[in-house]
Amino acid sequence: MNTPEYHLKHVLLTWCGLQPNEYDGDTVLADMWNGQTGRNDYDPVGIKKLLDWLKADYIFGACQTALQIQDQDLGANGTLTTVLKLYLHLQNCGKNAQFRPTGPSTLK
Amino acid sequence: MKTALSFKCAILLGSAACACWPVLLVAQADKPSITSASIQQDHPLQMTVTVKNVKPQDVRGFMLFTSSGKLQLDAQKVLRLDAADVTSTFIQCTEPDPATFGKTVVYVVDLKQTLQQTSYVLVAVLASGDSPTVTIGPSITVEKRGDATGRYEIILKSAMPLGLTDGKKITLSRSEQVAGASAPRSEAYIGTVTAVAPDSVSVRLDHKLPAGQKSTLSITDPALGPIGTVDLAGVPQNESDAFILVKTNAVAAVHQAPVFTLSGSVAPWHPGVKAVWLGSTRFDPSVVFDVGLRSTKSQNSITVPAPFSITEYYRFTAEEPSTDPKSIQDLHSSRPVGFTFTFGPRYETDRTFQRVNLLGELRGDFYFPGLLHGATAVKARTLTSSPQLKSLLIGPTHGYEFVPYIELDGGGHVRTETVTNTKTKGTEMVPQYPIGRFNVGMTAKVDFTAWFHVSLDASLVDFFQEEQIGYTTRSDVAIRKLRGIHPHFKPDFTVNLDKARHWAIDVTWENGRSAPNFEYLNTVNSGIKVIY
Repeated sequence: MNTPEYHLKHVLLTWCGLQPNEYDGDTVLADMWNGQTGRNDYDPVGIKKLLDWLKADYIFGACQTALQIQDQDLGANGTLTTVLKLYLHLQNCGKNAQFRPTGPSTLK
Repeated sequence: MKTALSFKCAILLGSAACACWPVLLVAQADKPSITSASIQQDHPLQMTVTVKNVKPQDVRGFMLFTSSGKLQLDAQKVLRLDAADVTSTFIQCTEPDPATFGKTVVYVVDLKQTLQQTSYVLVAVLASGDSPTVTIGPSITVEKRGDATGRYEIILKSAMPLGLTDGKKITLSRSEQVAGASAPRSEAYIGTVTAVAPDSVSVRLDHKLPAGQKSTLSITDPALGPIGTVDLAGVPQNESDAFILVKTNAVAAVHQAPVFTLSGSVAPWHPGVKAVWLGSTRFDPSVVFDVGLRSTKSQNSITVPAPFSITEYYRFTAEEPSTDPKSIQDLHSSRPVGFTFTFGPRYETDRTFQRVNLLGELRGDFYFPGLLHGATAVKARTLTSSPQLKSLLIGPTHGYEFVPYIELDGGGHVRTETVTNTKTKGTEMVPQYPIGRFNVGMTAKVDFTAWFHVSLDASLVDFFQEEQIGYTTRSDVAIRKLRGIHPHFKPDFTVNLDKARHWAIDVTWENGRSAPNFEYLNTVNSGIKVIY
């Protein structure tokens, strides 16, 4: 597991409560949120929460590519609709960083 | 964390200089396949390869071939693709630690030099002996960035390096053929690169593309040729995005004046694409109206509820997420409990704007996982674990959602109001008075089929202060004085008339008292509901 992969999986876990073996690369982010919360408010609430978690993560929070993601990119007609698309977009964030022994600072 | 996958350079460099590879004519769903391969736009010496239905250690390495694209039958009558092995020319090695998402593994291949603007065939060498392939070429696709800025922000994607960097200007051309004209008409757009990510390049245009049309764009600088089509046609919205909800009903009878009612809400910033956030607080103003003419039994009210809301979700798990990267797989997942806190000023008035209540509103809606079993959520949960079923899954069409809430309203009837019976000329004075109310209730929605659902709002209101509401009867004027606890029950039966759920036949039964007039109603209204 590489650094951006670990951090993305952790962000998704804290965001909607799903662990990595419960979704696939092609899983749509909106399905993850709507299925877990039972509400159909991925756009805008789920998107807002996902962006907040990404920005709070110490790898993605320091990554320009992650900071440039907008609500519309994650929306139904955006370009980052699935787990895999989001990873491919963020794959170079913190790529050369070492795992911090204490883990991401955002963990509770 | 390192995986067992190690560098694969050695086995790749020894491959033959020229070879022919059988063409994969039959693809099976669970067979390993390369779904995409593209140069990273921000790191042109790295190629991202996505392979499905493999485990990380299954891939021994990758080989690269140039391809003329020509197919030939060999002596054994096997269809083969002419190709030259350029693996040792381009591929340095495969990086360790590929990312794994279910059955999808993402590898990064380091290159010695960036690929030329021609077609290549990439082959994955698997331990099983399979060798899935993918063809990559210099084509460029273009997408609108999203709904908000899709007319002037576009995303370029290509398997080959585009050579674009932040701030670089490119010239794009939009062509359209006008009926009767001899030649296509072109319009130039100057684009500025705003972001370069591994998978895409974002470009902001100097002016907007025409709305509601497809736009065929070409890059003229650098001369990379056509880049595809941006479709800016409108997208239908679903019920949860409702911006305008109107229920209308008209009844006319012989020798009687017609009765007309209109109820619904307008919320211009409710659709997700228009959501306004002030930090983590959403600003979503709306107007809720329930008005009628003549002898109608409508609430005769216009309410502007509190516009600010904060939504939070909490997960109750046996263990907190660990800081150890290895343990992420061991964490228990759980569905979160949600809470929406709505707050802000609340304005209540009647149809003639004579009665004015100014209040502060505090409301909490609670979303418990066990009470939220809607058809859409159940479908989403299925698709989360099995996204490949997306085009096949049609059910379920039934489900239920129950959302308890509490609401506290405090303020006052801020204007001394004179209520006049226009026929008898009788009048009553309603003084200013303080208002304090506590509501507890539940909203619910039960889907029986894709076409029929019942929604419900049931609540109890407790008046801390006596409220006085002036009203007219046929022969007099009176004041309604209320305190204590009063129930309100309002089921709504809806039969959808179209698949997008924009139009529906609606029957609403209302029993009880509700703000701001608190007249006791026991009515049934039927009519047409329109949601956009």
